[in-house]
Amino acid sequence: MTHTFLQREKRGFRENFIYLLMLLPVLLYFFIFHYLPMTGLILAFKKYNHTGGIFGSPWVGFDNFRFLFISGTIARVTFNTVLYNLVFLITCQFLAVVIAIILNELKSKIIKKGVHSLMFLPYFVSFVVVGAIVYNFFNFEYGMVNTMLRALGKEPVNVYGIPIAWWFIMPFLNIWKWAGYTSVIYLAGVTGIDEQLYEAARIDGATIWQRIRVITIPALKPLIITIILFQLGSILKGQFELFYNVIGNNGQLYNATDVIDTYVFRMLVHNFDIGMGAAAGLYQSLFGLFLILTANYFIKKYQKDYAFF
Amino acid sequence: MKREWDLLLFKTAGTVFVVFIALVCLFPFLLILAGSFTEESAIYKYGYSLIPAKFSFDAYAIILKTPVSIIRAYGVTILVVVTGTSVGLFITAMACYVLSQPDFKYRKIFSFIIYITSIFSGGLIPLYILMVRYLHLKDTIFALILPLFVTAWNIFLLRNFIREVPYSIIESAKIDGANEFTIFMKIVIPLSIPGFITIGLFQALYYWNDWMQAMLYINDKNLYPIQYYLYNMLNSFQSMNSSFLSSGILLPRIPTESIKMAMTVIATGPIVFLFGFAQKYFIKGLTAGSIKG
Amino acid sequence: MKRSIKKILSFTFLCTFFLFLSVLFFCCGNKESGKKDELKKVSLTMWLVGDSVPDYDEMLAELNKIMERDLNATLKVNFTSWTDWKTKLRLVISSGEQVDLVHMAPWSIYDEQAKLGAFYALEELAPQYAPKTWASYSEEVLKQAQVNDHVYMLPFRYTDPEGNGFLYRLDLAKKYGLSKIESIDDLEKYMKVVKEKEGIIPYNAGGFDNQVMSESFAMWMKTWPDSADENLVVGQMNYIKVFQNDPEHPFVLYEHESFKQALQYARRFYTNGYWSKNVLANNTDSREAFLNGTSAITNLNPINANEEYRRLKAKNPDWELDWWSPYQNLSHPPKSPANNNGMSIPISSKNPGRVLMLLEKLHQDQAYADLTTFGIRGKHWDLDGNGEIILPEGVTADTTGFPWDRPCPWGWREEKFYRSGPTKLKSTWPVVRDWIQYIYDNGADKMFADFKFDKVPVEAEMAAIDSVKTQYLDPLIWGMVDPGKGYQELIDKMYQAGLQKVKDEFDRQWNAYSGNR
Repeated sequence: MTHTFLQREKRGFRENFIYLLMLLPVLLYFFIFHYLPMTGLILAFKKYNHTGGIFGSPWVGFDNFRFLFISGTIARVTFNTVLYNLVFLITCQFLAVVIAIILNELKSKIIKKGVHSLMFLPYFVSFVVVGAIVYNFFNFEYGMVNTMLRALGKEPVNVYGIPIAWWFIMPFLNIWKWAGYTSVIYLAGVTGIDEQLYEAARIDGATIWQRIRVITIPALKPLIITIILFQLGSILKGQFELFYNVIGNNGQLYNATDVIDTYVFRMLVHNFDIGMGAAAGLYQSLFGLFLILTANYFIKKYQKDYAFF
Repeated sequence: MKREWDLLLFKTAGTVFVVFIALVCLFPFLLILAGSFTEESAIYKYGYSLIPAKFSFDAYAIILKTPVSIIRAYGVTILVVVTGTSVGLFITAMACYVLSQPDFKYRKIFSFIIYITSIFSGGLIPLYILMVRYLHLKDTIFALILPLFVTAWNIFLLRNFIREVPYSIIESAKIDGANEFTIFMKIVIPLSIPGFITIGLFQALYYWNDWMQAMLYINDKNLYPIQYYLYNMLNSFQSMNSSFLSSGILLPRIPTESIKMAMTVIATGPIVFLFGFAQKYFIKGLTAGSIKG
Repeated sequence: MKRSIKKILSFTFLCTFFLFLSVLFFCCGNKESGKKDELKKVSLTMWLVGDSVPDYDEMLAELNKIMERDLNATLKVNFTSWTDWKTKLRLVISSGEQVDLVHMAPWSIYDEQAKLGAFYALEELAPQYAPKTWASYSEEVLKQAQVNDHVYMLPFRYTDPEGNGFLYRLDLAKKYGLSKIESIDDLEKYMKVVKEKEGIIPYNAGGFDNQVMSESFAMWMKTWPDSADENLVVGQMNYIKVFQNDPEHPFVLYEHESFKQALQYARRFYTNGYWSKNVLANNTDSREAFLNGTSAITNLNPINANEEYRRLKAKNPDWELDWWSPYQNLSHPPKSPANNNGMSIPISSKNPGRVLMLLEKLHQDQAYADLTTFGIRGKHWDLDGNGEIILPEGVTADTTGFPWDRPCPWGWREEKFYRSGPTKLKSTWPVVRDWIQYIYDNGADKMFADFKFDKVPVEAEMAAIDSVKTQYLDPLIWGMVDPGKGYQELIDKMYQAGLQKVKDEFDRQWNAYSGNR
């Protein structure tokens, strides 16, 4: 049994030799820069000290995870994180696809190029600056919104005191930052579609809506699924900069805006402990792994070609 | 007749829509630009506005007092972007090609191994120890390039584009006796140009916008990339915490708003300008490389 | 079935292989030892906090000349910059890369890292290599620098003037018939007229102000006892305190009467618009706002108040300024810890002996102190006829390449060499000079600084309590929430996060400590 197994592997190895050679640089890279440091994950179960280092420090079991669960806040924060990231993911992908399709249909080079360049601008603007601009908009005393309201004879609004408002502002900012960037991927996807298909559709008298539904969207489907699947794995992570810089220390909004990254940051900023930080990271990663494996399982079942692995 | 109407409606509505989005994207940048030319006290009094309340070049004058360091930082950034993107993209592409071939036996398991790196990470300190004590990369240009060299995200995206290359073409080349590497160079690359351009762009932007590696591994001011200058100016207020209360030292003075804005313009302006200029080639590349039958 | 087993097998195999390799890789690192010092030529690396100054390298070249002559050693200096400074210090110390000397302080990460075993204990090394300096510390000072019964830092020998206060415009107050501010009620009157007559936000707080309020608001109340207080548990919130005149009863700040009273004031200030409704979202310090005329108050410690005074006098010569601190109500205001700055030697250093010899020079040799603190004589500083330090001809405070005392020479400051000390300079703002002199004359030394709370048993609870701070404490302290409701919520949340357990653990350790005294 083992004998044939090994033999088969040996043959497979020989047949795929050039493939493996071509894959080698990337594998080596990931091994050195990702898998080697991953040994640090064991720190989640250790109490780190300098004399022991990563391997010699004493084991403490699940002690490092205790701080996450102690006050019962983690459930709400996890829920917030998942919900925000799902909304971010869906709205951003949807808009990016729409933009890519529209840009592809437009013939005017000037609009195409102009719009395309401008949509990239937000990618370069740091969230620190975004936070300052948002404050400048909504600030109660001097903000642009309230200045306008006062000029119209209306009551000023304290946006920083209304948590619900941020359910909409945050996804908006996320779209603003990433939609242009993401649409470039889809634009490349759309231009890759065979022009003859469109031509045939036109001859058949299809409307533009039919063309989009029957040709463009199915062609983009693998790309959409890849991107969504990929990002599911890090659903408990990311966007720290957005929340940290826009919401910052504004505790009044936390019920609506606290996500895991900001929550853990707050707890550990003065109680720094390598083990506790590693524990929080592991919690996020395992959650993501569980999610991606489940999603992959179902996709494999129904749409085998699009499965991840 | 209905078809014409439909098309007209779609195009008009579509144009309005994308132009609106473009303006929303442009607006904050205009605020930043105006802010960088506004006198400091005017920003404190009136906030940002599209037209400077009081015009002033002070912010630029202060930043450009030592233009050498800014120019040098640009040089570092360009070097990192060019080498990192070109070499990284090539390696990424080879991997993507291998992982997208149905006759490669281990593609699922290797895809999984690569994907895992996007979920799990060992944290800052182990990586820092590796980089500094074992690879001795502190204060070298490689410390800026290597940590971002290849990403799972780029591999998965580019794999998708390479998958679109019809397998029949590859198979017939194989029958003609071409080996895998030749097929990759001669057939796969030319046929997936749009994907390459897109991922190359992402990779370049990723390098351009990175300050983290400099924060971690670079002490030598001569090796600061431009984004790290920007990052330092924008984030210095975060270092102020209550511990300064009892420190008995002079509080570090944070750069003023207009200096922050001017630095943003200096650090991003050229690439934005360049990007607009490269658009022509970008879109040409996208269309030229697509597979037409 | 068989296929999937095979897949799992091969995956497990690959993972194990990778892990095995990683372990090998990390274990191969060799540990160098050999602490024998025979004055072979060595090169030392020092890490300092904050930002460098333009002419630092020039000064360093001078320093290296005399170091080579005296110690056969050269020095390389790295600065953390203020952005991410704590992260960088932690990385540099934890990674084990060679660092010979690092600035440490209680307000930095001294306690945390010393507990993790990051530094050489100095009780045996220092008397051998830095005998004069070691002998100059009193028993009391060394006690304050102790962590786990060892001294891991060589403290500076100086008393930092501690305590924030308000810089405000006395000319404005006078204009509307008010006199100097001496209490919270005076302050309220001042804010009222500013709001009504000047039309600006009286205390346009933000950024740094947000950080200091929760610490000090209770102290402004008239019910605050006339005694120096000490923080017994240091963290994000220094919430367990004790008064020196009542050491039997440590207390939680947020359960103190003065704190509750402060919340009433805060609510009133907020409702009346004495600070912005969005103070927590504002990232601009009141210091910048004050300078630009959009705030009538700013919150600063004496050193910074003096600096700001100098700047404001240049910009608005007609302003009359004053500074009021709640500490001024105390007959014995607290002094800062005796180890408020110092230098530690990380265990990655191969030459702790030589490092201590360098520290001995920095503490005892005026040439070393002058160079590192003030730069090069004739270029960055000089002495006038009375022996007072001055800027050389043609150099101003704004153009100098080496602002005095800026590039972190604080770790080895000696009162005797500190030429630019605020009590020694004629140019110091008299308000500040008098106050600092008052602290020196009447201030209370720390009594319990050698009590170092061991957080380990309640680490999780302390982290959880910290997460409460920004969410429930900050809105309360800035009056955004009605204290009638918000106060109870804060207390509930803190207990929910484990405050009782922290208190119990604290009591246990405090009783053991008091028993030993």
